[in-house]
Amino acid sequence: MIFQNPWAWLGLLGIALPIAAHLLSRRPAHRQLFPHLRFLPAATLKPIRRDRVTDVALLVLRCAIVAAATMALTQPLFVTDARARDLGSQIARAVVVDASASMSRAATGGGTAIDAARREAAAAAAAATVARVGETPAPADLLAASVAWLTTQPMRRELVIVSDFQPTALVRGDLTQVPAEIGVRLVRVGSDPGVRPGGQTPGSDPIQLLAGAAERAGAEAARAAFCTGGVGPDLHRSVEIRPDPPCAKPVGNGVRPRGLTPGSDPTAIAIVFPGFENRAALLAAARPIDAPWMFDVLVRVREDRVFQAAVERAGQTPAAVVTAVTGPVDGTKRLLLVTTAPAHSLMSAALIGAASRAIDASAPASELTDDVRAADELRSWERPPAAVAPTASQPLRDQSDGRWWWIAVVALLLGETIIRRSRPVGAAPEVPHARVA
Amino acid sequence: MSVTRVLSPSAVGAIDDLELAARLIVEGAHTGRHRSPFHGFAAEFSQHRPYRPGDDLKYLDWKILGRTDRLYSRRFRETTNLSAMIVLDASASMNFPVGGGVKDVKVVQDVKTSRRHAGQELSKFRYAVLMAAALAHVIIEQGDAAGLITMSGDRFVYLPPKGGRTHLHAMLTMLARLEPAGAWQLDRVLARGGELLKRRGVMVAVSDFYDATETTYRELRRIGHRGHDVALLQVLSPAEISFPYSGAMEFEHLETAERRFLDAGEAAAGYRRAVSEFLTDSRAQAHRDGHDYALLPTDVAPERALRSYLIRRARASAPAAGAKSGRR
Repeated sequence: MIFQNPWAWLGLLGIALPIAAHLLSRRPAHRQLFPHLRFLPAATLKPIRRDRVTDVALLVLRCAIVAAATMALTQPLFVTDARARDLGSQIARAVVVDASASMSRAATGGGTAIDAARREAAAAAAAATVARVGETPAPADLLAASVAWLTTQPMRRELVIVSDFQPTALVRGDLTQVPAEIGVRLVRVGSDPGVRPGGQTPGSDPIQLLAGAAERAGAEAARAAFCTGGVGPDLHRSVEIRPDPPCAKPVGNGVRPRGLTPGSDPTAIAIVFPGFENRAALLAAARPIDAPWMFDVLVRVREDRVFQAAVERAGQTPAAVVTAVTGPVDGTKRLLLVTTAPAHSLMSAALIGAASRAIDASAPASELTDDVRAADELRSWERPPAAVAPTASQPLRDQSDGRWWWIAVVALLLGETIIRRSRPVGAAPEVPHARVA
Repeated sequence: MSVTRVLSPSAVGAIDDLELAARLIVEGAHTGRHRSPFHGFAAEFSQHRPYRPGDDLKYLDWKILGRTDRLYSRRFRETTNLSAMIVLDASASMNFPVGGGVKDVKVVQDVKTSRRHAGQELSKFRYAVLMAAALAHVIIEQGDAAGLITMSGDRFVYLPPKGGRTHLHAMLTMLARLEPAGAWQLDRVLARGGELLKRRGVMVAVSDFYDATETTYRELRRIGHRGHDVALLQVLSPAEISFPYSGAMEFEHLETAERRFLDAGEAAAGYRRAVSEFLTDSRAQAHRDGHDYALLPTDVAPERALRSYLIRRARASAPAAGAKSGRR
């Protein structure tokens, strides 16, 4: 037997009420006509003793009424075999739809991948007892909320992710936050990549992808990257990573920051690598960041998942690798991300990507790749939902055996009424007396 | 016989016709005929006895005196009917229900039944009336004379001892009209009842004797010294003996309306002890004074109580009657 409302057990404290009533009750004196008073003592009525209950049988019955009512309020449930089977047939699904930029590509069956993903999500939700569907450009970000919702569901649970499964969409580590009893089903939409030679998708590591992008941007781009894009409410702008044209004007004390091309955007971010020749002069003129958006960008960069992975691979921490200051560039106060990551390193590439994502939520470069995870790899991540045993926190919905206890309460109340009415006030059971005559 | 055997106190009490009730009780009591328990004083010659100073000269046998010059008194055995005076306590204290106002007492179920049948609750007084009626029935049916005296308020209500069915009917009618009320002056009633007994007879007092004082016992002794046979029938309800009450109770005196507020459970032990002593003293006092005594709990069927009493009285009075007649 399980109890769907265990807090109702606090109602047992109510048993103290009839006990206190029986201990403290001062029933009115019963008036009794009597033939004589010569054998009765003078009016020496003492205060009612409070260490003795007045009527044990009635008290027990009243306590039983409170206990039965408490039992009913706990919504008890007897788990029969039928109910256990019923419980096993129910399933809750949290469907996460990948709405990243890559999902806007044409799908195999016509339409876009996101359309196909939505159809798959609707089908999965319809087949579930209860379901919740969410779309997100980063499926991994929605996993925590989905798991939290699933754990509240009193039935089998399954997490369904519908995506094209580009390498950056989901990594194995993302699924570690999903409890083992929650099933995982991965539904691919879009083109089927088939199985590549060697069984691995080339460039599946996002770090390697970023590193490749950095290499393609040229060696100079790694020395001093320059990102432009809106910062603020409108985050859907393009990100531009440019090579290193020479700067036209000196910075601060006359030192010209070669390699920085701020462009026309006042919110452009400059990333200063250790190899930048004017680094010392630039930092000498730097000031602490003082604009909210600057703090926001710094936090986003440090919390970027790919950047964190690259930093951890190097055995460092994001805070030690990148700091933020402001400095005048071409007479304009700009945010400078000063990094200790050497140019041409994975950390530098990850930092560029993180900075790009921090100032612009539009599709990153990784979305442009055609690589997706292999079907075998996805199958290895999947697992069926575990059977759920009925527990106090996972009862059957809309079912309770509390009504039987309410019936018991009514019966006990009836018995209490009968006993109370049949019990004369101030009279004790008949006492056999010795015949004198 | 089989009818009367099943009659409970409440069943008999529920019979409106007091004569019928009395007859049922008496028939139930006469299980196997026995000698009459009430012995009169015959006027038939019994024996001679040497004259003693103070003997009435009219009983002096002049013929023997003339023949032998000796003084002898003649003794007679009275053959006239017995004169019995029934003293009935009609005070308010007798208006106490058999159940004592306690619903748990078994008798109350019978009381409820009797209420349905006759609209009358069996009380000590009703029980005493039944006993008095039955006694009157017994006495008159055996050819003796019976009278009744009680108090209604401050005045006496009585019927002098007479015989005959007409008188019996009058007695039963009077009994049926009696209502218990007020206080009770037992000594006055006894004194007045003794005066109404013109010749030596039987004085039967039916009461709870709560009001009995030394004056009362002195009056009873005086009645006994006048040659009357005195019988005390003490009627009590079981609740008065066992005191089946508990909790906070306010007891109100039926006669004086005096109230006493106490914890009945705590007072029960002392009460029972006091009542036991009271009953023991009453019995002992009666025996010391040479009076007949019987306790009649109201939960005992009237015919059974009457039968037991009559049998016991018959056994006890047989040698006494012989002795009395022997003294004549």
